[in-house]
Amino acid sequence: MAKNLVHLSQANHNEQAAKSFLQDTPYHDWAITAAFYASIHFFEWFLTFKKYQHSETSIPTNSDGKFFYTVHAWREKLIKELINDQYAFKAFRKLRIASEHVRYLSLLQPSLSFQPLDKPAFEFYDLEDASALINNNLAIIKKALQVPISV
Amino acid sequence: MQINMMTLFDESESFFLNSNQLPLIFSELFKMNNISWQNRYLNQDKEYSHNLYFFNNLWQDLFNNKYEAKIFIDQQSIIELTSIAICYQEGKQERIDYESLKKEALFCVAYDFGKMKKIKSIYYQEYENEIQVIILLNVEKYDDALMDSLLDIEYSIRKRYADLIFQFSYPLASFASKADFIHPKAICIWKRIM
Repeated sequence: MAKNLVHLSQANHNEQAAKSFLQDTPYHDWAITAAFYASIHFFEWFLTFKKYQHSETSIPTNSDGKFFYTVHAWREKLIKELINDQYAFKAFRKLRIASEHVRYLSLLQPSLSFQPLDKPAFEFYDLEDASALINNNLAIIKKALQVPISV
Repeated sequence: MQINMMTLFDESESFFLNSNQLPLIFSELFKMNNISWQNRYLNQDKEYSHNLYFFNNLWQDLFNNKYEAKIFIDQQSIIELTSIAICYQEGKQERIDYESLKKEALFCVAYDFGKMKKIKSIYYQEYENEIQVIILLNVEKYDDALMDSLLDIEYSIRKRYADLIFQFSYPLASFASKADFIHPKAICIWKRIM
């Protein structure tokens, strides 16, 4: 399968996984993470049509050969500059931020003693939040990248 | 007109300056920090009250990391500092060096994000070429409208300072101690007074 189609296929797979997790509460937090990885693959598909080809293999290096960017920083720079669409950039960022929250968050209770909450961190996003995050932002991203509707 | 900055600093912590004095004072102050000053600020016609002693120490400590993360900044000071940085940016003719640009950008980060009520504090740390800005949010439930506003600011800063490599993160801090999310060497550039 051509490289660009592999990315598109993986992106669609991840998007379907995200929608599947939304039907399977309380695992809607993983829907957010799956949607974030769908967005990455949609972008990597888009990138195959550009001179950079892939975000992980096109990171500029310094004169001493060290990477000038981390992968995330480079990808976000490419997203900002190649798509040049503030809404699409924000959609990517929202999914990344939310996916990091649900994977790493340790929400603390507002008290002077800084006690952890008695609920898991992923409850910061309820099902409605997760559903809106995924559907709205993936739609914005796919439109900006001109992902074929029929695929 | 020569101004002895050290004398000013020693006399008092606060000064009332009129628009004629201000550019001269800050001209000296910026020279001390190896930053040039533009006369554009002369067009301002209003009185300022600045705590210059605080200003100078803040400037030095923030970027020399003298007191590590034990720096507290009130919002008004940041607004005033940032307005100066913005005026400087608008008036500049040539690209300033990396360190100066970074300082200027961080002032803008503090100013722009500091206006948001749900932000508890703002830190930064550096990794390789990245400036990692950590914005602690005082929220307990996802707020999409808030994220929209935060990301609008982030986008604008990234565009304005396209030569710098930023990474923004938005930990959900509530009233958490910074140690839970922030490296002890991270530097506070803005903090809401509770």
